Amino acid sequence: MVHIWPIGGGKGGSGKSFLAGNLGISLAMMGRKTLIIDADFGAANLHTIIGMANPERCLSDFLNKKVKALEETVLQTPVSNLSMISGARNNLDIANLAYEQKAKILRAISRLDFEFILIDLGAGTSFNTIDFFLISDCGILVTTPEPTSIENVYRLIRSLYMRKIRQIIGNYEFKTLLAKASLRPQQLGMDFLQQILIVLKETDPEKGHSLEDSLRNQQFRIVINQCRKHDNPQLGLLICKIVEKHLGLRLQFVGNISFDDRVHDAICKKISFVSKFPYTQTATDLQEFCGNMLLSCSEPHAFRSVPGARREMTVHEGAG
Amino acid sequence: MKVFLERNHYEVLDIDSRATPFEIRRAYKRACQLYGDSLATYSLFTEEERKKILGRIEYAFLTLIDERKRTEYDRQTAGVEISEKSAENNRPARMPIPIFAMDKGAHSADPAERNIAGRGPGPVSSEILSSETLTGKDLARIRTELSVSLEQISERTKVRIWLLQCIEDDRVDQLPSPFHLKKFLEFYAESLGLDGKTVVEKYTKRFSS
Repeated sequence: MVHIWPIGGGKGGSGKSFLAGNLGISLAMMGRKTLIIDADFGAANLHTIIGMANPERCLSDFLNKKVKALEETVLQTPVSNLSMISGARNNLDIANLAYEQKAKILRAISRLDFEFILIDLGAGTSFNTIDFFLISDCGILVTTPEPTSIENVYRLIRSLYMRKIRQIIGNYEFKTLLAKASLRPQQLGMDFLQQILIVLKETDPEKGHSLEDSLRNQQFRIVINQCRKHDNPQLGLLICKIVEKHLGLRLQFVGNISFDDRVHDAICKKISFVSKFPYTQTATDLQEFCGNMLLSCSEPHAFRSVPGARREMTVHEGAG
Repeated sequence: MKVFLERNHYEVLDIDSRATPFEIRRAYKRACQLYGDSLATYSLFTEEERKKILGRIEYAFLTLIDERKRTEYDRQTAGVEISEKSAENNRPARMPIPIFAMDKGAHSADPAERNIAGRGPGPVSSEILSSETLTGKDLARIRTELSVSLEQISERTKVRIWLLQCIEDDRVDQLPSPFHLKKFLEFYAESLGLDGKTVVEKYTKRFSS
């Protein structure tokens, strides 16, 4: 079974690409066949985090029909078992992806033959980002313990919620439903989203229940990146609680990643962090995060690692 | 499913309908912290909404923490007439319960208590207790036999572990005063289910002579 993990999170600079790259490397080091896709169309730089300065092919080649299948844009990275689809040489207008092109990519992604596919998404809450995020039930939200980042992650969650409802019940019905829901007295602005579901359940119980079920199945994960020592380690759990309480949406906390100045150094040197600094707290946190993700997707051999994986990697690093 | 402000008192505080006053208090404190001014709720509510939520939490708390009001509220919400007596019986854990047992759930009564109630002093302890004097080492042996940790004793007696360690290591000069020694020793002995006075007597005999 393919596990698709889109990685998003509202605010720019919260470490989405960093986590996507290093999570990909961690999975590859466990011997899993992993693909990372750079879907931050306008501002792609996942390749730099992995340590590939100049990728030859990119996603645009697929859209421009330079290559026939998405498989042909897949590049082997310096890490064994890890492949990537880069966005380094994307056309300059790719940020405004047309609906058909997006649908084409989404379809192609779900047909790729990999154990794990990580999709690095851009900041913001544009339909592109949201639709890529909703491609699977295991989307990972990245936030830092700062008000700006928290604000944006909540905005993203609400947009995802709305989009999901719309996907399920269709555009027309969604509009009438919104109109009905907005007639209800609103005591808290936050409750509006829940009100939609309540109204739907009253008018069309069957659809309401199926919608509620599919919202329940949607289990986003949340990871808190760049945690300093004095930050509240419980923040992730509190966010999950609030979202569950006010949106009825299940959110699972998968870990805190410590802040480390060496991340900056690794990026400046264009070397992946986990291979450059494998014995730091941040690298340990990343491992734990990876383990939690595997466990939460009920992977039986969550912590299976391949002996010599680390050694193999250093060889490749030298070659690259 | 209901929106937040329309939920019942128990749902607002996120507690079970059989919650004890202590749990209610804790839940209230937690809710206040969460909705008060925490990073986790940033940007979700306007100032006015925040006040409304906090007011709702406050109201839920004040109703549930008051025994009489709570019974009244339960009766109203249940819609059934329940007699005062049976309402009491529905909540078995309404008695004041020791603070240190809170986090462990209902089933885990204090391990120290359980051990003592189950067995009483074992053979080693009885032999030690029958002797004329008691050393710190003897106390430690009794404690180990009852499989009670210093942490547990410290939790029960509220005496710091370091001080208890001093007693067991016979470092009595490190304790603040002879009076403290006596009192701490008494607590220590009683938390193991021993007679406080005799233990103190036998322990201090060594220093007075």
